[in-house]
Amino acid sequence: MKKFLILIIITLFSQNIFADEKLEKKAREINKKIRCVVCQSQSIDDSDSILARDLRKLIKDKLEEGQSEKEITNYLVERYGEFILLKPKFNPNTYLLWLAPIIIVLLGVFLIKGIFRKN
Amino acid sequence: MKYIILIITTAFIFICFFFGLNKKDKTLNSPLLNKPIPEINLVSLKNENLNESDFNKEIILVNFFASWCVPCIVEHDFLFELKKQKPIKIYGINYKDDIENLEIWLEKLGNPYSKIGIDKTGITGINWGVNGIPESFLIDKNGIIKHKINGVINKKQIKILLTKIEALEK
Amino acid sequence: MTAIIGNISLIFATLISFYQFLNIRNINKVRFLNPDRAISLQFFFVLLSFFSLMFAYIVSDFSILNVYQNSHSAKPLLYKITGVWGNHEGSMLLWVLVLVFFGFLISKFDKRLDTPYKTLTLSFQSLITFIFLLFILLTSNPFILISPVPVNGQDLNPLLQDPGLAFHPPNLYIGYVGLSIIFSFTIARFYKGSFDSSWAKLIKPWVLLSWSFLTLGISLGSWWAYYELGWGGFWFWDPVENASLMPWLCATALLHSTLVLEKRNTLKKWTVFLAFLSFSFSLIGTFLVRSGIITSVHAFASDPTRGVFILLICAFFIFSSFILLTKKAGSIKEEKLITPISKEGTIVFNNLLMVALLLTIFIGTTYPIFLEMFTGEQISVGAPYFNLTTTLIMGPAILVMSFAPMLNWKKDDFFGLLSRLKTILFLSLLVAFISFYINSQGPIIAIVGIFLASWLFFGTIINFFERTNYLKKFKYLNKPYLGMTIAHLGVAIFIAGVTGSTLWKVEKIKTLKVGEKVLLNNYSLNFDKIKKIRGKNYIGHEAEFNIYKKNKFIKTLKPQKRFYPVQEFPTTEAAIYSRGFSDIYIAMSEPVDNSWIFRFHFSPLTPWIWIGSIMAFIGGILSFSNRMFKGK
Repeated sequence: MKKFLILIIITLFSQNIFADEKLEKKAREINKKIRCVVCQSQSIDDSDSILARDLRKLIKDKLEEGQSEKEITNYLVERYGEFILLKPKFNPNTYLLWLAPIIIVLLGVFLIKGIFRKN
Repeated sequence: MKYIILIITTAFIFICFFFGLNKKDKTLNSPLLNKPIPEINLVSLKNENLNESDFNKEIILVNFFASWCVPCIVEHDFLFELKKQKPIKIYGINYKDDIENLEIWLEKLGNPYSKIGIDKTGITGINWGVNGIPESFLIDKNGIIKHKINGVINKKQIKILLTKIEALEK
Repeated sequence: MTAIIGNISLIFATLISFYQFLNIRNINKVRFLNPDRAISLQFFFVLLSFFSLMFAYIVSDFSILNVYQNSHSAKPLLYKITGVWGNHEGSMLLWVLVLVFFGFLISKFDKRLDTPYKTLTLSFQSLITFIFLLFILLTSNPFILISPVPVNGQDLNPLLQDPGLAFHPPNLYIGYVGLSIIFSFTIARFYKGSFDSSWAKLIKPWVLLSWSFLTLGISLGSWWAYYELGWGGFWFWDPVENASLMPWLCATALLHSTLVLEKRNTLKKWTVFLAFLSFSFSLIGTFLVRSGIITSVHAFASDPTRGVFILLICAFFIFSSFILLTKKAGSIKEEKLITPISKEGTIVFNNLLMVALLLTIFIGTTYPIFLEMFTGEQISVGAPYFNLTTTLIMGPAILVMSFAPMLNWKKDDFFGLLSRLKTILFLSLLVAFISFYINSQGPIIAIVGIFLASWLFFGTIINFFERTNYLKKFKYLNKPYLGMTIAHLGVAIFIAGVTGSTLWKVEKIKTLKVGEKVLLNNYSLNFDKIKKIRGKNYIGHEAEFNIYKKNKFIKTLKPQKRFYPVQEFPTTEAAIYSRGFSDIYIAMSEPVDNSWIFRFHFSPLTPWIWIGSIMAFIGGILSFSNRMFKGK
């Protein structure tokens, strides 16, 4: 019986640690996408500035409250603008940005067709 | 033919760079402009409350500052200057500071604030999209943010503020 | 006095460079100022000016504004010296110094050039020098005086007071500015000679030299960011970093394209275009960093007038070269077409992807500027965008890079190729699976990274063994081939390093009191001491960590947190224990009551990032050192 109780306690406790670790991981994932607006192009995960620390704490607290990544990023964008997102959203403003690499490669392929000769 | 396209594209890029250079203001725009003030619920230095009910009546300037902030010392004189030219209500938000240091600072430099909210953790700062201090917000009689100043309020900023305040008074 | 010498030397250099450009046909109006002597004098005067500035820094001559703004008598001597180029004006002077230095090198050491072509090249190089000297004299003069003379200076950003950063700009500038001499060689060739394989042979060593130093300069900057910025990152896709990466990509494409031109006398117009583009991106990089168009902590203090001047300089060189190419393209005869399955085919593929990546990075870096201009919206384009696009574009490039050296020039056999790839595939998969077994919690994409690195590694090694008949014919191997092998292996090791560092890193942030410890991988990091420290121009705290593995003592690490009073600036001095296959990294954050917050990393393969880069540099220099300068 005692062993059983101990087992239950350990399981509950490790669930907590496990959940904690998962939360930590999620927090870092989000942190890597948020720009430290007072640094160069670092994310708040990469910077130890005061604002970065405060934002990291905020994100962790909000995750603990149960907020989703979307809710958290919306909260930040409402106050700091889209500038705070390191990964630009995909919307009419940024279609050109996201499609550019593909267009360039296709353009390049088209341009070099002329110099190849068949085997 | 390809060369012509190359030259035209390059020319376009250069023209854009040229116009980009002439944009004077390199600061971050605030998405809070023309929106109601964000949450604020602080205890003031005199142990009163500083929250939404303190707005919505008159034009207010909210000024984020701290005793450890060197440019804020410079700005302090300008705040008095501003009040002299236009007796506007200024709320100070003491950002991530120490109350003892704050009191010493105010004694030395004077107190232009009607109320000072204590934001020890900086969460109110984040709520208001503050990057660093000093930062100030001009709020109209309906609690809408009408103007944001990144950095020190100096002579130039005072002029801009006065114009904006006059516009809001109408 | 120092300022006077500095200024007058600059003025002399400006006049001589102007003369050398005008005297493009070497009509010897001023007898003693033949091209060789003229360029030597330019070098002498710019060097004199540079040393004057350095002298002013060393003796802390605060009557000179530049010294006042960027130095302080309490700074250690080394950083007084390196402070010379830690600011806009001083670094521009360094830029010009390298410009004239390259001219001088060409004049003194490149015996392969015939006199008319050399004269022409030096004249164009002098034009570049003249324009930049004008820029310095008119907008960025480091010798402006102030009065009254202040008692002390304003100190340099403490982040820059560092050995890594001392060597980063000079190396980088040798790379950037080396591309200028290629530009001059190219323009001159339109007027004297043709773009054939002999021209490719002429410029190749200079391309190699620039490319190698660009590689070294960029990796030094990245290494510095890693240990100095104090939070474990080594590349942030900051506009200033991108400004150095873009010319590097172009130079890489140019290097390979030059090989094709040399061996097969084809890709003439393309190589010319790349030669122009490389220097253009050097200039655009200068513009992005110094004009203030992009706000970045890394950027020098900006001034819109300067920005316009730099933009005009860029426009002048870029447009004149493009227009020249457009006009004269017709006279460049190209006949040979290229077979896809051949060494030159793979190089075309490489060039396509290098330029595609280059343009992508350019668009990503400048997109926020354009968007804001047209819509008023402010967005960021950061690491997520660049990491995604870079890996997608570089993936195929690495795949081909592995077997490209195996292919013959002109034409090779597709099925023969496939069968040789089987061995490489088998070995790479083996390594990938083994690494997955060791590190199974990592993301799947890490396996792809290891696979690519192994694929490149084994392809290069196998080719090397085949070519030297399993080392029997090693002494007959020419240096360029060895250089290429080392460089390509370096890239493979670099990729493995980046993969391990980014995807397999174990990280913990913990608040500790003295006496407590943290477990990181199999290591115990014991926080044993904390003490106050004081340096020449800073105060702070130092923590002492003793690292144990299975109760055996390994090493002591002492991370610091410093505060520089003059500029009111805190820095984090991370402590790193680098062990060849991984790094243990400790950085101090802030104190909380009587504890401290620390960040701990266990970074597998991280040292390989820099080992790989250095190998690439060594490979390039090895190839460069081939007997290219003696005789034709």
